[in-house]
Amino acid sequence: MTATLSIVAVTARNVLGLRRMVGFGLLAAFPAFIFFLTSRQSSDVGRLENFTGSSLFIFLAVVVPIITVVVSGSVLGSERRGNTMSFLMLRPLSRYTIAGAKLVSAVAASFAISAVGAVLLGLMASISFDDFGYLIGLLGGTLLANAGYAAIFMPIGYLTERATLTGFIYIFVWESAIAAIITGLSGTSLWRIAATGFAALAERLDGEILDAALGSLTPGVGGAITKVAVICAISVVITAYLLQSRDLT
Amino acid sequence: MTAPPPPPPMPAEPAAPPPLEAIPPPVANPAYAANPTIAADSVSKFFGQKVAVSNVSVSFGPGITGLLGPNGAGKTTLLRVLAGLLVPSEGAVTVLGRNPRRDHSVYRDVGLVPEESSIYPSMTGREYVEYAAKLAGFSKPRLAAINALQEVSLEQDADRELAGYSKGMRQRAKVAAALVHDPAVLILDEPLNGTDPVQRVHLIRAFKRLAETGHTVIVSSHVLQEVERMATRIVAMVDGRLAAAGDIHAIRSAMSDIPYRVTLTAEPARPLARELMGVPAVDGVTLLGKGSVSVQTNDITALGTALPKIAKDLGVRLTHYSPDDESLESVFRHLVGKR
Repeated sequence: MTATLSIVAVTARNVLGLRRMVGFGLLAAFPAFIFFLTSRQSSDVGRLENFTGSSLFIFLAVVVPIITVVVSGSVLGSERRGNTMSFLMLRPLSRYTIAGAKLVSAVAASFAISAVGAVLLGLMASISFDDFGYLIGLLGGTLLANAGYAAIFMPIGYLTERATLTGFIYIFVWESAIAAIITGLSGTSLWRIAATGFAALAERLDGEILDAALGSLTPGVGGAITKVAVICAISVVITAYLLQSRDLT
Repeated sequence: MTAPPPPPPMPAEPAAPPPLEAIPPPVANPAYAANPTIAADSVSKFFGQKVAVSNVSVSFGPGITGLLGPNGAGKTTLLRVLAGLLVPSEGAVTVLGRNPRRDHSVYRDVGLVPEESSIYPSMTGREYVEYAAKLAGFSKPRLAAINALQEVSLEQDADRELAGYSKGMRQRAKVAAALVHDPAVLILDEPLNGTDPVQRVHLIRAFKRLAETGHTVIVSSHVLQEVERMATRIVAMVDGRLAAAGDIHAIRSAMSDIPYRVTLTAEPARPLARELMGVPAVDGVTLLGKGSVSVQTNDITALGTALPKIAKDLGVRLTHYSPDDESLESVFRHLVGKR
């Protein structure tokens, strides 16, 4: 356990540089700023539309994925490119322990930044709509999105230096375009899976906008947690296999 | 130069290595150690079409073994295969009776100092070594880190960031991280690279102490003199193949009839060059300019003995002395041809 916690602490410290924290912190706060601007002179219905249609969408579908892809792509990638991977691999630790600790690091580090935006936006929505389900839902949805994206892009970061580019193609081409048009593919969109968890916790949302965004998915906390847990488990197995089978040149 | 204080004993944890699996050594073959702790059996490693290591069978036991060879000989690849960082394309590796690719618990008893800079620049020296101790499962990692840092005489700079360390200090930090868990087998890939003469003395002293207490220490280098100062046994590689192996004196003797070239820098160089012409072990001297002199010798040891005395007598300051890599390569190629 000490070894796992040490890996998490060292990795989080390495991937959370001050400049990255500040830059991503501002990015995370941006949707809350949009909501603040658009809700000042709107009616209750208008605020709900603005929240669901723009702020929530920007936060869960763009901001959180970008932060998580960049952070998770570097938890193993930076070790490999910085030549510190051998330091880690020459310890009496199973490859599953290393893979698991790295995934926890990626989720924790990306959540630490994303949570800033989730708390700001969630508090503003909760106060605006008099329902703290927004805050809880946003924190839960953010954590699920962090975990889902980290699980996918951590092993990709180990395999290629272009993990961030791959991630952006996934976010902006696959999720935002293809999975949005072909509703049957919405289950392959990680932010939509996370959004089903949020939608189940926040009672008042614009149903029409939400239905259009989620596609074939239906709100439900249990389903979202299960799906993300399965993705994380598969990720740990694949990453451990990569660590075990590939040469460390 | 003052001798460093004797280091405190290394912590006893983790548990001592398990009993070794018997690896029957063909006694007549000098490539095999008498009591092997780490062995490569017909190991080859290919990277695409490139053969980095070709059918190498060798073993290492307690004491210091120098893995010698020119740059590109396959030393680093062999060491990384032995340490389990690379999968052998052919053959098998056994470390303390275990396969390091499958049984990661073997790393309780193995330490590696890789050639590359495997450090976290934002950490301090103490944090870096402590991290290694935590990953090895120590309950008191700070104490173990302090002991290891003392072993490499780095305790004074322990709280400075590694980013600010010189290359030699980084090497020593890597050595401290590799021996923090008191491994039975220590693999060192060019550990003296970038270190100054004083640091070299400290490190060599530390390696010798480990060897004296029954540890297996493998040190790779492309500089024969460097290895000679600490190793009792040498394994030499050229072009991915085993060129020679055995007692250092036997290797020396095999090399005795080979012309050898060293480059030295001195101030002033001309009188030293003139005087060296009269030394029986010297076959030729060439002034290279800017104080550099190339010396061809048939007896590197005799040259090494004569040179400081001549320099002292002439009042010449020697600032650099190194064997030419190409020359070393030709020595090894000669040995390969002899086999």
